[in-house]
Amino acid sequence: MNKRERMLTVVIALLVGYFVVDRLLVVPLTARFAALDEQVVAARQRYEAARVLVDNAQVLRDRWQAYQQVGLAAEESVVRIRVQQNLTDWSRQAGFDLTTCTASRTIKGERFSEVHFIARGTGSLRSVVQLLASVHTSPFPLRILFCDLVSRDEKLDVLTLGLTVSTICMPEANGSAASVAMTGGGS
Amino acid sequence: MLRTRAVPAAADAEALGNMLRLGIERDFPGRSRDWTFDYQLGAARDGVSDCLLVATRSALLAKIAQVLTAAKVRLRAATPTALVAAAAVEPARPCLFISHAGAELLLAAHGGWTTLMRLPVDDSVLESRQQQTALSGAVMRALASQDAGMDAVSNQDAGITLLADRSIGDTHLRAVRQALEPTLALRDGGTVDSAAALAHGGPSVDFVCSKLAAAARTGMSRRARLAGYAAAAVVLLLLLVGWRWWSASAELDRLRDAYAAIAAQADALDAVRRTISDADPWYRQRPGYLDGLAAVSQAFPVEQRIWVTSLRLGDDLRGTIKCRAASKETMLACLKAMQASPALTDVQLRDWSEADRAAGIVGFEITFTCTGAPPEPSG
Repeated sequence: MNKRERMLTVVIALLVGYFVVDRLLVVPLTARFAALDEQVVAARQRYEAARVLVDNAQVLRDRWQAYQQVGLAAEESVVRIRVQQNLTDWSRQAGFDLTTCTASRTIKGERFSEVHFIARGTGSLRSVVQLLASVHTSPFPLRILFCDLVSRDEKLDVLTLGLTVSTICMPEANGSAASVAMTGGGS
Repeated sequence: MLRTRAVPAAADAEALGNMLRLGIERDFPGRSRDWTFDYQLGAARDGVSDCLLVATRSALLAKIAQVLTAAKVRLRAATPTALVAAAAVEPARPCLFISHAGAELLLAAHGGWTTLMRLPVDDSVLESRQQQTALSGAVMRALASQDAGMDAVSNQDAGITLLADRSIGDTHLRAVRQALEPTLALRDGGTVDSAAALAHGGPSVDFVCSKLAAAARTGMSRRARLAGYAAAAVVLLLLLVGWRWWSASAELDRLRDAYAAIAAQADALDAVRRTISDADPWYRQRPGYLDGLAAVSQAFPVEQRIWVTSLRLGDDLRGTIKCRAASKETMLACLKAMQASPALTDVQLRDWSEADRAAGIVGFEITFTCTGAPPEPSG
């Protein structure tokens, strides 16, 4: 075998060796390392997220207690009466003529039951703004979903207001579970 | 090819070999692989010995071995013929050895050989008068270039011993002697049967079984070294890969253990966090309906020729306003005014129609989104 043939043989052997090593060793090894790295990254993210939760347990506890203190009721009937009563009171205080205030539907969620109310009435722009301000600063969880204002004349003296609001109640079981989590798990 | 080196007389064979190998690498950098070396030690004096380092081309040896192998003859030893022939001269003194292959000059000092030179004459020196004259000149030049040679020339009593291989006839030897005698003091050393002398005493210098064989096999050892380096690199690479795998696995285990320690607590807290997050829209002040209404009322132009018939605003602060205007220009002016408001975005004219063709009154509908930012106080 002359020098050129030897060199060709060596080059071919190197190429074949490279491809064999690449296919049998490098590629599988790289894939396994990549999978391991992904597992490490996922485990680190999961651990750090859990760590943040544990570190902020006191903040969550305070916030949950604050929510509970701001009128989170357990019974749907209680919230129905409370919303209707309050909307009636706020309308009277604002000089708004509330003609209808009914619970339209209840959506049972995983954690809360959401109760929708439709209120209609007429009043001046001033009374409408005051009523909306009362809803806006409600002492219990209340949220405006839609607000329709229709003017009867060009001077805006009488406005018809259609208001869709929503409130929530938390069944006793969920509230107890959360409380247990806060007191038992958060300490 | 040769060199003379002064080496410690007490040095053992291994130390001497290493010493000479270092010298070879230093004196013949990069060429030592092409040569096969051996040495012959001279007599010791004052704790120092003169060492005659002899070399021949490895390619020549290989070719000889190849030819012999082809003839089914095993090469057992290879040595300069002149050294074998001169071994018969006691004590060592300058010799000129003539054979059919040419002429070689050996110089001695302190009882040991210090120089072995192949003289630049071809194998016709036995017949060619011209070559014999050239040999005379070559001997003189060689002697003049060596201290030991100068001693031989100046000491006419000593002279140079003329040795010849036994295969050379007397006629040829006489012719050579006559050619050299006018310029050199010659002593007759007679003829030597080199092959018999080699078989009898064994060579002091042997390129086949060199005492510096390790140096001659530098190429092999370098290959072995390279293989060793490659193996070490592979082992190192495997160790690195293993260490990387181990460290990643250990990190994964550590993170899993750490998570397992707080998993129950974290799951419970996460449920509470999601509950709080879901309840947020009912507790937070946003969306600010009053802010949204204020933004719309500020952006809406106040003039007699346009008025609102209805306004609808959702909890996502997206709204629709239905209006009537005295003319199309007024409608477009209203649209521009609302689009210019920083508190409103995505202001678009959805629909318009002529509500009262005779009076030129148009009805139209504009959709918008409140940014949620509190409106600027009106000046």
